[in-house]
Amino acid sequence: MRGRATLLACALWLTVTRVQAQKSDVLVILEDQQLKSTHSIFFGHLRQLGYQLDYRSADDKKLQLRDWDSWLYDKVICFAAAVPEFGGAADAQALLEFVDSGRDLLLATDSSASDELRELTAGVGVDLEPQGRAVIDHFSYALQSLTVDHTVVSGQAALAASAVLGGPIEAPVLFRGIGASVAPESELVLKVLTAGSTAISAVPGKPLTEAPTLAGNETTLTAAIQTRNNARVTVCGSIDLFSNEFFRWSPVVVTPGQRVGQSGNRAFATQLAEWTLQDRGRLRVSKVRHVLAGTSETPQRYRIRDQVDFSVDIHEWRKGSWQPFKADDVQLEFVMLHPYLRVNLAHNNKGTFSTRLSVPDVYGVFKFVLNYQRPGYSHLFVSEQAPVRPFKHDEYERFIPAAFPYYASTFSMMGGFFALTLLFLYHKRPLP
Amino acid sequence: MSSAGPKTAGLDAVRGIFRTFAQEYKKTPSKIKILDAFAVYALATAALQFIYMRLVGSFPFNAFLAGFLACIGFFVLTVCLRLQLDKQSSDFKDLAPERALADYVLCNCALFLGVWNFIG
Amino acid sequence: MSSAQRAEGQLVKQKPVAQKEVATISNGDIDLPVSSADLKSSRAEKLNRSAAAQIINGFALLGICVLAFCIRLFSVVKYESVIHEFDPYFNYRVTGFLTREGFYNLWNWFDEHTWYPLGRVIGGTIYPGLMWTAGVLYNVLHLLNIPIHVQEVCVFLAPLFSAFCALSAYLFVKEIRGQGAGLMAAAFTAVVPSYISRSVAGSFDNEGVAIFALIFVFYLYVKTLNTGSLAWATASAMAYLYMVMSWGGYSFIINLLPIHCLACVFTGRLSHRLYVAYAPLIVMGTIGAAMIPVVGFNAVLMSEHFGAFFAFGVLHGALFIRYVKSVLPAKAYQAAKTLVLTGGVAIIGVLLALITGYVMASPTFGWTGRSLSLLDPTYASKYIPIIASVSEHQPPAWPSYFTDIHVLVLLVPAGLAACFRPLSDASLFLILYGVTAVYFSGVMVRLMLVLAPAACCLGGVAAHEFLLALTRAIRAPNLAPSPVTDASVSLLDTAAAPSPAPKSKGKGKSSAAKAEKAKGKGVTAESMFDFLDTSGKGRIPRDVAWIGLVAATLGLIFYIGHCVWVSAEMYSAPSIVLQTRDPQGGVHVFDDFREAYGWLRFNTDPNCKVASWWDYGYQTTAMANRTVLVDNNTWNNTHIATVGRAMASPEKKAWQIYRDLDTEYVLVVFGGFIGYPSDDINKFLWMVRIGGGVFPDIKEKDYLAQGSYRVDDQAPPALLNCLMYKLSYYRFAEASTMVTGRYGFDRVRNTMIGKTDISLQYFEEVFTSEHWMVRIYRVLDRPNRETKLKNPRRAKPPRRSSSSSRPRSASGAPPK
Repeated sequence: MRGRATLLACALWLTVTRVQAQKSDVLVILEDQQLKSTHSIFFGHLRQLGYQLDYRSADDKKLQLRDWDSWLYDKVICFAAAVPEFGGAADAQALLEFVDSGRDLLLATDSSASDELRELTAGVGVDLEPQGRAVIDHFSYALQSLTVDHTVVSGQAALAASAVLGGPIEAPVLFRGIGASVAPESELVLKVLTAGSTAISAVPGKPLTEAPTLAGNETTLTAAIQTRNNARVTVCGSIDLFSNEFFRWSPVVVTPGQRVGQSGNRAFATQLAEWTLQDRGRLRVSKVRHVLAGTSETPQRYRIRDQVDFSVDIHEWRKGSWQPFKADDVQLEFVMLHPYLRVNLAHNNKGTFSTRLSVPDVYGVFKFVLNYQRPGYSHLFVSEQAPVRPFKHDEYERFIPAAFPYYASTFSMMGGFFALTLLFLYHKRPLP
Repeated sequence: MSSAGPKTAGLDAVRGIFRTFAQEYKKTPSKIKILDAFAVYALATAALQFIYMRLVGSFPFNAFLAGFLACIGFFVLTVCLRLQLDKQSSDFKDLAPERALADYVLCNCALFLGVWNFIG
Repeated sequence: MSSAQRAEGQLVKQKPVAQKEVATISNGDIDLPVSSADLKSSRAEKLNRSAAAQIINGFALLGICVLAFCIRLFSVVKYESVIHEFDPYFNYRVTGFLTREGFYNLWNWFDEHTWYPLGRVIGGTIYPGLMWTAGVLYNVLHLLNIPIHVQEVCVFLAPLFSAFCALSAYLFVKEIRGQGAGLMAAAFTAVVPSYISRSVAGSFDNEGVAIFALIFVFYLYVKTLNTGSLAWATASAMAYLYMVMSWGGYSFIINLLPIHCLACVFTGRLSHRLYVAYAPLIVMGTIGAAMIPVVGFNAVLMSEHFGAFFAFGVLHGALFIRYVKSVLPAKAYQAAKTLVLTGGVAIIGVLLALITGYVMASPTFGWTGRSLSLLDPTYASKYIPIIASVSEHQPPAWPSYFTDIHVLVLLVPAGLAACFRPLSDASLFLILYGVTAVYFSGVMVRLMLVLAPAACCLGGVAAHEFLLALTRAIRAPNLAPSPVTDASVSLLDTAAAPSPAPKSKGKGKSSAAKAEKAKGKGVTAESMFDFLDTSGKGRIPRDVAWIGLVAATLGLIFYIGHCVWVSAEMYSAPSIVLQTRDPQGGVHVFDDFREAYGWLRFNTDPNCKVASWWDYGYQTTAMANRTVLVDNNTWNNTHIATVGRAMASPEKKAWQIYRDLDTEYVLVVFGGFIGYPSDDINKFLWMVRIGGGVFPDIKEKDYLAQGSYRVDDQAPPALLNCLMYKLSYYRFAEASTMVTGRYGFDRVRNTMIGKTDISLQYFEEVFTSEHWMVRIYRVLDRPNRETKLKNPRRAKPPRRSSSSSRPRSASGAPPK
């Protein structure tokens, strides 16, 4: 009895750990193997979340992302800067293909970022500054090491980024590295961490001969990109942001004389990593159904003025499983060249969003379009074609009261005709 | 027909015309008179429908059109039969009255078939 | 009618009944203005007609039908049994739907595969007669266990109905002028090139059955006119309903009949038979027309039908006046007349004012666009460029009359003259038909088709008269002709000598010169050549008649030869398959269109949308079975203008327009590689005009170089950068060196193209057919990541070091 219970307990524990341990494989490309120890808190946190980390060196000749058609890893974390080219088969182009296949990338680099890394970040829409430049802020810097070059700056987490980060982070986030710029009309890039208004991007130590091209709030320190197939890429200009030293940095001196408590790096880095590795804000759509109201069949085409029940299941990945998504702003559009209807979907707390719509009085080829784009969440797009036909010839109203005189007159004509022929045929007296 | 004033003269003339017409009309065979009666009845019904449509609006226009054309069609066909049965007419060679009636029935059936299909 | 006459009529009546049962062909009721005595004797003569003549008549008609069917089979022999052109593909698709889904589903069909995303209510916008005919034929054949494919039914339906049309022409002209004229007219109709052009095997279009219906309606109308029987009136109403179902050209009938009615009323030919023929047809025809959804309430609301109602009213008025006149004594009638004239004029004036007000209230005076473009030939080019752009809607050139009706050009005026002598109600109808048809054919090439049967009928009458004169001169030179027997002799002659009749026809011009000596005389309106009688003896000398006959035969052989040649060479091209002769004399076939549609059908997602110019819409939906944006129905000008605008815009803007319309493929027809002249670059100016008619940012002058349209380096930048140019000439420069030896030589425009290095950013080429005639491109999706957006703060691009250009195949990943 006891033996069996122990066995059961062991099996249960094993399955639990197996389930927990069935996370994806993460390839960690490190320029310098020392980063394993200097960034141990960060990597430890990732292991706690259940990820299997595979540490490789950036110039490892056997670096491989895919084996013919199958990808060997699900996520890549890359802390590299000055590597002129990646070893093996994991160069910038391969990493971009990796992202295009729907997999996530967390990239951190440095002032000594090489052209390879610049090419990689340009491929996702983030333009790194030229090699050698750093983000310098002479008015607001951390004084701990009393570095003269003032390269350790504090970044401000953008308010809009609280969706990415799971909440606002008030503590300053320390940063030492290279800045980046993002195109103004970019739709997919979210600037998570920007420098203060007094920051510039320049070569430290060298006097400036002309105005800096990138300065102030335009300097992006960390950018979060969600591609159109919902792969997530984070580009951070500072490897040190993730280091143990910056995690423990306290107190932070924001400006000479102003002290703030613990740096916010730990919270920032872990939240950012969670978002990038699709542990937060990941949505999925399933079971899109549209049926005629009251029935359970999806007709090949609808008819004008029909009532249609539309329902869709949206789930969110939270704490290792798919939980029902709760939101009140999911909208459905009924579109033909432009939306004829736009309704909010109501959810039943179990992840099913539904509504009843009445098809407008216009026939054509419509689409049900669900286009849900919120910062920090996966982009949901559902488009289902729903042709709408006009009335059939026997679906119009019949026996209209206003037309009764016409029916009556036609009957009377027929009666007259009948009487006339009877008269002509059967009248006994031959009519002259 | 000269009386005092042209107006009364005119009215008298009109009344005279109608009296003459009525007199001559009595001479037509009663079969033809029956046909005429039905034709006038059909025309009156058509006019009534038109007035009704004008007052109430043309919503089920197909019903109006079907009813109106049924009346007009019946009128036309009855007039055709009258013309064919009228012995003074020399336009119809070897068309027996039985044949005329049979054609009339056929045509009316076709007419009402169309009308009932269209009346909705 | 007096009782004696009535008894006579009854007596005589029985014999024609028997005759009706014997003869399979009609017994030929002929409307001759003769007295009752003549009636009796000519009927007796008719009974003596030899049975052999009737048999020969029957075989002649059979031969005519077979000839009509066979002359249209050239395209099947030269190419294959395939559906031609563009519109027939739509009709074929609808017929296929009908045979699969049934009648009610077709009646209610809403098609979402065309005019995306607007869809098209096919049930309510087609003339269904052709499809129902094909569907009925298909079902009947399948009922008889003949498992014929619906495509074969569609291909061979038009030749079959042209045989029926020849029969209808025979019956029609027989009512007017007799059996001989009928045979002539049928023979002419069977092979007239204009009709062949629209009814070859494979041309499955409305006109194939509509012309048959047209002549059949005319036959039944004239038959009713001649007999005065309501049964025939019912039949004519049914035939008219069939005509309305088949073709939009039914408005020709509904306007010709009132013209004839008014002509009869105002030339003193008012009779009760006219009323029986006209009035029931109008009423039952209006109900019938209103039942067809595509006509619907237009049957009473559009100006096209007002003529018929006006004549209806006039006819009633005229008959009523006649009736009152017959009832009232003369004095009272005069008094009534003055009364009516004073009072009635006022009422009519009010009515006219009301109607005029209604008509003027509409911008087109109540006429539909297509009818208005017939009445006012300049209307379409001003207001509806799409109608103006169709080549069939242009006025014909003079030589096309000769090509299309050949010798009938000479016989038509002779026929018109012959119809006047004697003038009957029926021949008056034929005259009016001929004259109006000639007018309308001068407005649009397409309406030569309406002229063709009229020309054949008139030509048949003329030829019959001519041959009558000649053969009678040959047959009976010593007969002293008398009034009545001349008429009967003419009947006998045409019946007894039919062997020359079908084969030998008259060439009016040369023989009229020879027929100086007249033949018939004495009888009023015996023959149109009366006036040529100078000898007083009243006949043509025998040898002159023989020469005339030989010349006539030769002329008609030329006619047949011309028709066969035209049918074989000019009108048998399916236009979806092209042929040329190579230097060795063999045939080279260009089957690019079907190749491309087949590629689309088997290599693309079934729900994808294909954009092309509207010409190819029907073929794409029928053969490739894919959804298209615009097709040949051209009912929505704005949608076509959107596609035209996309083709005329730069690549990025066009990509945006196509993505908004969910288009996945763009299809372009290009002829510069092989020399095919009707490609999209030649049609491009129409795209610009139609697009510019709706969207003001497309201006035609931007695409012209000093007023002329060129594609070489003198072309303006708007043309060189537009999507149509890029999609047509992408990769063309390299390919043309293989064919012409020159880098970028366009064989249709005969110039070197202006821009040879074309690269596409938003489209990718997925298919080009064997001779580059059809090219299909895919509209690329939005890129997954944003790269190379405009960023003013971007530092200068990184230098590409040599190490980054090493081959990237170490992972063994398949190439992208």
